[in-house]
Amino acid sequence: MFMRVAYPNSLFNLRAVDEILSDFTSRPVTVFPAVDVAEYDNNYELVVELPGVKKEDLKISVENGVLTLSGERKHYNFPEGTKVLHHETHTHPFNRSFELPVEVNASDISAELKEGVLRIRLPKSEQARAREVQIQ
Amino acid sequence: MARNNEIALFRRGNNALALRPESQESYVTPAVDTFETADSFILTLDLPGTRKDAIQLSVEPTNVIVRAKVEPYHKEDANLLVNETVSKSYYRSFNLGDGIDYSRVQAEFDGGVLTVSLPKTESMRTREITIK
Repeated sequence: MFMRVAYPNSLFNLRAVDEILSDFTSRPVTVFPAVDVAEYDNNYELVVELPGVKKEDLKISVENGVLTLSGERKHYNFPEGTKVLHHETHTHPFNRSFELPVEVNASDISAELKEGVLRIRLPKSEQARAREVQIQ
Repeated sequence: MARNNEIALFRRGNNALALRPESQESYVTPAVDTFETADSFILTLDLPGTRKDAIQLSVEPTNVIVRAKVEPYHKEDANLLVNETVSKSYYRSFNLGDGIDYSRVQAEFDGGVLTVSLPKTESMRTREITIK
C-alpha cells in the first residue's frame, strides 16, 4: 500500500529516489508520512503530515548529519468489542531519514506538532545565510 | 440493515483529487477508518493541517459530508526542495442509509483527526435476547 523509505536520503534528491523506486514497482508512490522541505533565507523547514500521532510516540534524532524521524501511530482507543468495518489509515511504525545539508546548525533544531502537522525548523549556520554585500 | 450500512460505508464520495464541478476547486479525499460499537458507528477522518473552525460537517438524513480547508503550509518565499503534500481542501461524503439517529451525531477534532460518532437508532442496536 505504501512505501517506507528507511534509508537516509538527501534533502535535495528525495524526490528523485522516490521516482526511481516508483519505476521498479510500477505503482504510484505514497509515502507515509508525507514530507515537504522548504528552504528560506535563514532556515530550512520540514513539514510532516502526521494525523493521529501523539507527541510521545514520535522521535526526532540527529546523528552524524542525519535527521531521523520515527514513530508510530497508535490504534484508536475504542471500547472493547468495537468492530473495524473499514480501514484506510496508516498505523504501522514509520521511519524516515534525511541527510542534512552541512550548513544546518544541528544544536538549534526545534520542532512543533500541531493539528496533525509536525514542523521541524533547521536554522542555517551564520556562514551559510545569504547576505547582501554593500558596494563601497 | 446493518449489512447495508457496512456496504454504504465503503462507498467513496469521490476519488482522490477529483474536481468538484460546483466549485472548480480540487479536493483530496481524506483517509477514513470506520468502526462499529454496540450502539453507534464511528468515522475517523485524517484531516491534517486544518483547524476546527475550518471544518464543515453537514449531516442530513442518510448523508454525512465533510469539507475542510487547509491553509498553505509554507510562506510565499519558500523554495520547496521536497513537496509530497498536496495543497488542498478535503472533501468526503458518506451515504449511510437508515439506522442512524442523525439528530444526535457528534464530532470532535484532535491531532488532525476528526472523529464523528453516529448513534444507531433503537432498532439497529445489538440486543441480547433472553431465552424463555
